[in-house]
Amino acid sequence: MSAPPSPAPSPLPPLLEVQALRAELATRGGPLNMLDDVSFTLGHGRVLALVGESGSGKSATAFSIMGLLDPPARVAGGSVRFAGRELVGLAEAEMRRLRGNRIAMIFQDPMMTLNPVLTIGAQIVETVLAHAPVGRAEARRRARDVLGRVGVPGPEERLACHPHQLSGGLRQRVAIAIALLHQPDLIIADEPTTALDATIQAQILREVRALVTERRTALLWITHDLSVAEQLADDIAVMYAGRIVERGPATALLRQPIHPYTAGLIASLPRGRRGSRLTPIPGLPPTLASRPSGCAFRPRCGVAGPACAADPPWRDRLAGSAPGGAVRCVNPGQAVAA
Amino acid sequence: MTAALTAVPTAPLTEGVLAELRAVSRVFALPGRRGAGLTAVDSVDLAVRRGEMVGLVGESGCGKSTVARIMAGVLAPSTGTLRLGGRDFGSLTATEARAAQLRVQMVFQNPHASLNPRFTVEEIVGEAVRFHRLVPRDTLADHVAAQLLRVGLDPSLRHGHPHRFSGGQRQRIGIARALAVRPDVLVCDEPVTALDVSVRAGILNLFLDLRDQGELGILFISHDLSVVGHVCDRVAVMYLGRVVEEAPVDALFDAPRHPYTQALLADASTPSPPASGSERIRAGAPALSERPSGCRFHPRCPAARPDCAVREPALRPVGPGHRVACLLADH
Repeated sequence: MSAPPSPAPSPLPPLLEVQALRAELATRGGPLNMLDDVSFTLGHGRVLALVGESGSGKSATAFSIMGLLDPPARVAGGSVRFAGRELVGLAEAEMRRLRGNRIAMIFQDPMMTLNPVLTIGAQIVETVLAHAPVGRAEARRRARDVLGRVGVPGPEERLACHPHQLSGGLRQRVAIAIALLHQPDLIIADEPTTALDATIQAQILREVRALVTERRTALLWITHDLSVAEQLADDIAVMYAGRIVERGPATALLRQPIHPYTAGLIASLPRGRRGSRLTPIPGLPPTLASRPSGCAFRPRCGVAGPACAADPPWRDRLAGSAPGGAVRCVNPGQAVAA
Repeated sequence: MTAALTAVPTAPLTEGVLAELRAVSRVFALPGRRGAGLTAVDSVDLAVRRGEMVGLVGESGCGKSTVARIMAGVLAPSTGTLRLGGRDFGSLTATEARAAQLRVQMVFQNPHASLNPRFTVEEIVGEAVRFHRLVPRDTLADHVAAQLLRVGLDPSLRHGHPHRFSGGQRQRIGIARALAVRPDVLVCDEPVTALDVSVRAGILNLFLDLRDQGELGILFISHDLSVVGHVCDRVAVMYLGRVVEEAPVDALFDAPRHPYTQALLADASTPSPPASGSERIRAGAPALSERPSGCRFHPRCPAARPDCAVREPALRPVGPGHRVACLLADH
């Protein structure tokens, strides 16, 4: 398999370097590929949106990086380098130290972050105290402040609540607040705003964006929502059936998708004249057990040909311009026309 | 008759109305607080006519789902009336009420949770039809097959169980089940929220087709304004239990009058954050239990004046089919 063209060269090694990552799910019938040849890099102060639909491997990628894949799933190959250090195969105690300090994860389910038996206040104050040399009163003030910043109404009263007393949306905002307080180098967020209202989502995206700019935090944001990716990300990587099929600068990729799957996703959005029929992608994504060889999208692709039965190579999205991103399609020329 | 009605979207208010809430409120008792209650829905008027898709939008907790359940006749209003087919639902006999209830069917958000996993597709779609003896026994299988075709499913799949289907197919099964009892109105509560984008497009097309066939009225509840703006004919915006603006879709999206609607649209539709300096509202509505005085939106409103904290604005017409509850729009 050819190595993907690297994005814009930078003098320092990127904070996160994922190379040919592979993950498997063990089954009675033998291992199934969850992730295959996933590679990308992410630098300080950059936001990469990992975009794809259910089952495309977005969350599996995040969990693989964090060392959180549980059997029967496992990382089966490739490398994840964080600040120059290999994370694949790292001892759990080491990994836990990184997760507590330098890498934060925001989960889809906020109860993976929150402790059900402690009040919100206790959990946030503890986080502040762990990361800043301040007294309890100051920690409490910062706790109130951060809750306000993620759109929690009446922060003072919420501090006394236990997680079960809050709605799902409020819990998620608290979990996000805690991740922001950690001041990590890298935040991995797995669809954390999907269930939230538009005004709250917009505020959280602004807050996160500000954090990235101020503290040069690197952010890997997983989402199925292209408009969220557009608002937040510098770069986008599109996943399909366990692989990245296209990636590049967010605006360019959304404006001029090259891979037929990316183009299909964008075409299926409600745009154009009100009431006009939308264009769904025909067929369904393959299950883990039924992924076709070669390009997994070919059964649904309008421009697929015999050549698509072989693994498609990476190519520059724009001829001869690596910073424009890369696409994994044998027919990128035709795909543009599609 | 149907065709004539759908061709005239500006028909008089009562014409073609299939389901209607008139001044409906719903108060939920608070456990342990005798006498106190939460007003989840407050004096809402909302009509669904034949051949139209009405969008209902608003943030979590604004009362959208309560409105849905009241319109479907499964939750009684505390005050006000539900009218189905021109008759007051509350005044019907038990038998009449059951028949009227069948005319309004719900489609739910989660197609994984709303289908009985032990039933086959045929049993799911045909159950209510059989129970209410809506078609002769020997034609039930044909009737079910016709519903599956109508929602774009292969009738040969009817012996399968729900777990064998994708999310989009399951939502089609849920719609087929609703259609099987030949309703006048579909009440759809976030019907595409759980679906992937590429699949969602097909389900939205199905709703557009059902609407265009002209037999049904559809109440389409969603928090996703881009979807509502694309498929609905008319849209009502709820805030903390009240409808604050209602208008034909073009008027609502192109010239929203309520500051809340304007803010929702600003947050939802702009792909990139608007230039700094533009007005934004504080994120998140307050809890119902903390409902502000006067206009309930005034603490978040960038245009609020002193009297907004005192006077509660009524919903008033500001254009054809366009009503707004805002003191600033009142003159």
